[in-house]
Amino acid sequence: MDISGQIVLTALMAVFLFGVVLFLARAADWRTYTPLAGAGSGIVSREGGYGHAEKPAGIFRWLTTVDHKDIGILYGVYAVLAFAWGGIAVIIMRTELITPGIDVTETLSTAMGVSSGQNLYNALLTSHGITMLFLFGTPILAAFSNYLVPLLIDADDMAFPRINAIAFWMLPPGAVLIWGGFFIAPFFDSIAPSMASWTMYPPQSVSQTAQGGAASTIADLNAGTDLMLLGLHLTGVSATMGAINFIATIFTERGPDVGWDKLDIFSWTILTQSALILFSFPLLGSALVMLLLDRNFATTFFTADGGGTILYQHLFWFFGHPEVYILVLPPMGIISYVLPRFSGRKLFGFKFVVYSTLAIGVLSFGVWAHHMFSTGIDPRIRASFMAVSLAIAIPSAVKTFNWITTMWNGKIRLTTPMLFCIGFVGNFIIGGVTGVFLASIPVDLILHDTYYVVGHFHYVIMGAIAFAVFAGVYYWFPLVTGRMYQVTLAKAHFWLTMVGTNLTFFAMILMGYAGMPRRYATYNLITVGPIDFIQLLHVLATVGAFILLVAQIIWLWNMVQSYLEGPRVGPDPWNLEEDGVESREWDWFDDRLETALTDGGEAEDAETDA
Amino acid sequence: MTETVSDRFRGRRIVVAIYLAVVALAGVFGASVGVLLPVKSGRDIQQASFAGAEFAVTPLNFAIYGVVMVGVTLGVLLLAVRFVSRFDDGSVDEG
Ligand code: HEM
Ligand SMILES: [Cu+2]
Repeated sequence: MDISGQIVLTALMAVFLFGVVLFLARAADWRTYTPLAGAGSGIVSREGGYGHAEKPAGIFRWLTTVDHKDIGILYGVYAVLAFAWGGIAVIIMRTELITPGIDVTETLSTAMGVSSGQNLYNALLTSHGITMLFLFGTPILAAFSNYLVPLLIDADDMAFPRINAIAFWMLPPGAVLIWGGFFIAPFFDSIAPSMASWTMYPPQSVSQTAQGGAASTIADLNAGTDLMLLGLHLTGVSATMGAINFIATIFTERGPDVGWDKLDIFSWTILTQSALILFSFPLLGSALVMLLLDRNFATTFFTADGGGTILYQHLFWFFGHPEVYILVLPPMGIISYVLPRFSGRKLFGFKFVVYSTLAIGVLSFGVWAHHMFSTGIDPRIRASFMAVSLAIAIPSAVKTFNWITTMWNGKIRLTTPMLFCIGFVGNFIIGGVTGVFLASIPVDLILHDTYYVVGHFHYVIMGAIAFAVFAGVYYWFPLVTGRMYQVTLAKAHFWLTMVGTNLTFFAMILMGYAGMPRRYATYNLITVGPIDFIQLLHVLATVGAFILLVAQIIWLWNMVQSYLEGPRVGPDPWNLEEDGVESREWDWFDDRLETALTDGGEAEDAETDA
Repeated sequence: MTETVSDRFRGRRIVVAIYLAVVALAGVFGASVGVLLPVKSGRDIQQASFAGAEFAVTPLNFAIYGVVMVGVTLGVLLLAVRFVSRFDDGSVDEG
């Protein structure tokens, strides 16, 4: 194409974009401003709780918002979409694993433009892991922290509202890049979704082609992996910006009567999490850039005769282990916050829970090499990492101890959020105990890279982290929507999730013990364990996964339907006042309801979840 | 709909229920290991010993082993909870 052709194309593009803007402006009807309740009483009214007196209507509100509550909701919706993507990927994988040979993914691979069933399985595995950790896990926690932290610390908004918005808006392009390989694969033979797995170990991640083998020249490399690395880098920048914002907010924006001694437990965990993000994500970013350079510019950071592949593992896990605590600390905060409210009392040993949070934050930077016990690193170094890894179990155990003592002397109401809290405690005990065994070198040498490891971290990630997320979603659903969810559906969701989680991941612990290695699409060639037994366990795990699928569909239905037409709630939907365990965010909700009522809203019957 | 007192459960009952569930799971795990060990290929493990006591590798024996082991370990922790809870000034459950 000659120059004039390109100019014409550019002009057409400009016209098109201008058209889009015009359309959006029309759709949003720029002139209809909806003044928010209480706007008349001054910009920083307590009713509003923030300084945004008016917002544009329609889609423009969501594209331009810098209100921490709106951004929290954006994070939430985004995370749920990612949860769906990661969930569908894993359902395909679990279906493949019902039988020892290759079948379902082989059929699908042709349709999806991937060269073989095994390659498709590996691509799904990679996408599942990365999506769940970076596009679901971190964002769903950011949804809670964005919405709640400013309310809990009595701030008008985040310290840097615009940076907050920018951090969020980096995520959608990040997801498009990370999933990009799947969208492009049907059209180009030389491009496939990345099969590097979420750990992206070289030499694989530096040399793999779209066909699965090693590349002979840089030109053969699978560009799907480059896209993924770039996308991942973007989400890392986003998380870092968010972390800086939370640190600044919690340090400088606390209200006059929220001293450090009054800071709630959830904000403490967010503060610690942000510090972990600040010190670990830059490491991931650097490692990703080095990978990209090795792939595209023939540098030798991680080649065998350059820096070596172990260098990558050190960098990656220096980020990677703190990352698991980045994911688990805020959920622990949610549990510490919600569980006492339904035990009718305050948290037992609040101070110790805060101290153990800080201790975990510090120690989590000293355990990374427990992911590398079997790589042949110096045994003396290994032993010291084993010691710290066992030590980090202590603050986690302290927290569990405090939750249990809180319940022991409490009067418990089995509402849905409380059920999820109790489920969290049970599952976290199993996840933690299996982790302590892995931290012991001789045990790890046998169980490393088996399904036992997969079972361990899913007990924590699904059994605990996701449970805390659901506890939080149900607990604050009335706060965000002003409505109550359907209690029967919520209870069904809990029980199915509890059964599904334990069926799936308990089976995995057992099959790992029986010798099933992780990250394989097939197990017909296995020589370590009894195939019949392993297949039985795989079938059980798949049944569990389908139970989980059904449960999450019920949940989604409940959320959407109740958001649209659930019964409106009164100012204290959880009857916290009865037990004297009220908290700031519900006061804010009460104020908001009152202003809405004086503005002419109507109240229906107040509903609760018994 | 308002909460009534009968909706409330004593915390201790719930905690003990979690304890029993985890101990039962340990029993299931023990039984599975008892099934697995003798058939795991390349090994033929029929005998096991703990603190000098020999016993045959059967699902039942290993289930007992799991229940006793986890039951005692977590049981000690539970007693510790009971002990500290006396110094708990936030208690709402008298008796
Ligand atoms: C109670 C303290 C914990 C200990 C002592 C512990 C120990 C370990 C060890 C030693 C491994 C490496 C196993 C191997 O690859 O051979 C491991 C893997 C893993 N753990 Fe934990 N863990 C703990 C808690 C957690 C938590 C809270 C999370 C998640 C939030 C978590 C997530 C993971 C993940 C994702 C992996 C696998 C990484 C991979 O290879 O892909 N762990 N854990
Ligand atoms: Cu780790």
